[in-house]
Amino acid sequence: MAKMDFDDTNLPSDAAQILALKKILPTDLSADELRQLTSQVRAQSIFSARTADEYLLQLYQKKIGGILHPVAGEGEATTQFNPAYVRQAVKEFLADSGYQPEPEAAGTIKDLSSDARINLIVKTNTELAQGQGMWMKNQQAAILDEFPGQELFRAESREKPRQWLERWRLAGAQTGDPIGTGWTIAGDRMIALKNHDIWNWIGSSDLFPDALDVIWPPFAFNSGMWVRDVSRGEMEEIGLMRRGDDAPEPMNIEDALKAFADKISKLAEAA
Amino acid sequence: MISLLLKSDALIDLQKKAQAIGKETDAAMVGARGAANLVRNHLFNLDQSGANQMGGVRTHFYSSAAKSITEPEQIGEGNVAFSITKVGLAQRWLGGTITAGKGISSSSGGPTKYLAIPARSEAYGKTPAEFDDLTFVPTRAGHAMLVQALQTEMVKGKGKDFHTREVGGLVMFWLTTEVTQQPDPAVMPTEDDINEAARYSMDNYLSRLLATGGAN
Repeated sequence: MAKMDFDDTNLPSDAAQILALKKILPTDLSADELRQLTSQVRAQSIFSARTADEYLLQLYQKKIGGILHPVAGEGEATTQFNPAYVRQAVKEFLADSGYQPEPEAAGTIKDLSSDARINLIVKTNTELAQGQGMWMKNQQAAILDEFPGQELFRAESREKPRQWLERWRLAGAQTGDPIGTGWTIAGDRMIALKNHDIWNWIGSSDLFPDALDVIWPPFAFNSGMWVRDVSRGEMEEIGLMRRGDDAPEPMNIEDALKAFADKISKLAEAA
Repeated sequence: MISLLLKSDALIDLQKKAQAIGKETDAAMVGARGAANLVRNHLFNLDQSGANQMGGVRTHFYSSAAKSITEPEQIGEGNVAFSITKVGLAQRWLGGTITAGKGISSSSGGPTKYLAIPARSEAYGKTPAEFDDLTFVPTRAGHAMLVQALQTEMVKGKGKDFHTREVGGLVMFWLTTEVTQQPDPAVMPTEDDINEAARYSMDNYLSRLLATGGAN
């Protein structure tokens, strides 16, 4: 059935298409101020705190697009799609444009040419596009039927890992559903139905200041967390579904982001 | 880029069942998703199994390879495929020879003459152009190395004390005109395991549909 090929097939990449459709949003706003934009605007834009250079953002969009869909021309090397060479290209662009960081900011996240800043922008935007692509492909009845659940898990180690179990409990409590109803903690595994309300909260900056205000991974800046499918059989075993239960309903992205924004607004009003 | 084409016509029984209820594409998509999930989990597990050999800052190569798996797409009737777009994964999996000359050198602007192989943890995940203190040193065998230039560094001591020290002379990159890597089959699950993951998911999906009356 399966034939493993190593070739140059140009399969479409959802993540690359998502990124390519984003609009450039040059801005002098700080990270906190950017949070005031709606999640729809942020999901459809390429931006970075205090980055008003349109050409720099265009370069990021192009280079990150290459990471997501690395198709080299005839005889060309693929090193250009390596994140290290993307970082180098950004540094060269900034050097050519005469950029100089403020002395006290040099080498920090506020320095547009620092490794820390460039790595964060490249990784966050790459993964947001991949996470969104995965979320969108989840919204097919057959996929939701066979894989109705999703697990939040640690994909990458971190020196100072966040307390995600604690966040999961807080996000779960926000849904109003008691643990074991739509979401649960099985051992130390964080599992919920796809499209359950908990996914609206786990990445919400109203609950967690470092969150990215998205309903797909990576959920928070520099997070090592990701999601993976949980099959119907396993969802039944852990008690989140019973045999014969309906699968989660597919959602379209506009409705999902609107629902997310509405909930955040209500929480802000209540605060 | 690694492409994995799942041809559902090889699972004739399941495909016939799927066709009978008009679900051949859905069944193929579910099977491909099961296979893609197996590959993802395999790569995530590889990432968690250890740091890079030189002990530098981790790039989480295998995790980013897992995240780069494209969601299955229908390629013709009943066939689905997915790709792993992470650059370098196919090289690790299948091995092969890489030669200099395809890329553009950041120092000369012309075709690269050498491949740069990190020699120290500080160089891992970086390009030579990101260092501003490297010196080209040719070796007898026709290769070369990039060596950190000697320099004086200020070092903060206790309180307000500062002292200086001489640093440099360390080889940061080995330069070579070609590299041959041996294949590493452990980079990917076996073809049999991928087949089985696809079959298992597809069979579960179809069995449930048939038990509940087929298409809805």
